Amino acid sequence: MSEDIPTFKQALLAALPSLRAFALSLSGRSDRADDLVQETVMKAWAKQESFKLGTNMQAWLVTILRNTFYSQMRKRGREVQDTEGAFTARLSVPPSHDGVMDMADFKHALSSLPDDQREALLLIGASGFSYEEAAEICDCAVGTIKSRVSRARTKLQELLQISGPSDYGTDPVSQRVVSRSFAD
Amino acid sequence: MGHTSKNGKTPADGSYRDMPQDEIGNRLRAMYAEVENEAIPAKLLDLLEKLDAAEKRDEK
Repeated sequence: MSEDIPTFKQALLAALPSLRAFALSLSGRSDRADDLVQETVMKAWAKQESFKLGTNMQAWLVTILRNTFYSQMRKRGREVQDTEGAFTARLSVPPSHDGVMDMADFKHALSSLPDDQREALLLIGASGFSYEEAAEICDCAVGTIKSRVSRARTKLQELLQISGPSDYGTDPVSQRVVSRSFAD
Repeated sequence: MGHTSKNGKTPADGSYRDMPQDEIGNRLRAMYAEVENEAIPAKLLDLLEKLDAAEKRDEK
């Protein structure tokens, strides 16, 4: 408040809501997400000199968080997610309520994606990074991000039985819902 | 409304340029919004305060 340029602490604080959303969506578990964000904050604080003023704080934090996530995964060993088969089976009937998929179903489908695909989809579709920024965060080629996003979308469309913007759901009601979301 | 992200990147300012406005994109954004609209956990705010206080102590 007292100065125009936000302090490191203020900038960190401002980035936290979005960082928490990424952590939760990436890990799929709220206890894990809280740990991830805390560890990210501690690491970021410890190396704040390496943050270049004027660059994207969110991208910097997300990079730290994802690296922390993957090193934890390597340490702890991959937890077995045996739900995918059952989940896919359950979704093989069209969604009931007017073709509008349930948020819980969506999250479940998202959690069944491979980590690299889920991450790419989140960075582009939810965090709002560009392909270039996401590629830098994940330390891979832009084309790799594009292909991961594309595969993630295809898989989600299969799981949730939606075919894309122009062909969602099986009844006129869901069609209307979709058209509405395209109206400017 | 509690905390809002002030990192210069909001859904209204032309971000999400690489994700179509379809059901999947909408769901992803809605999912994020759920969390972003929550208050930041006190534990996390405490941590920040402690880090800040420790740093100020060290500077002296």
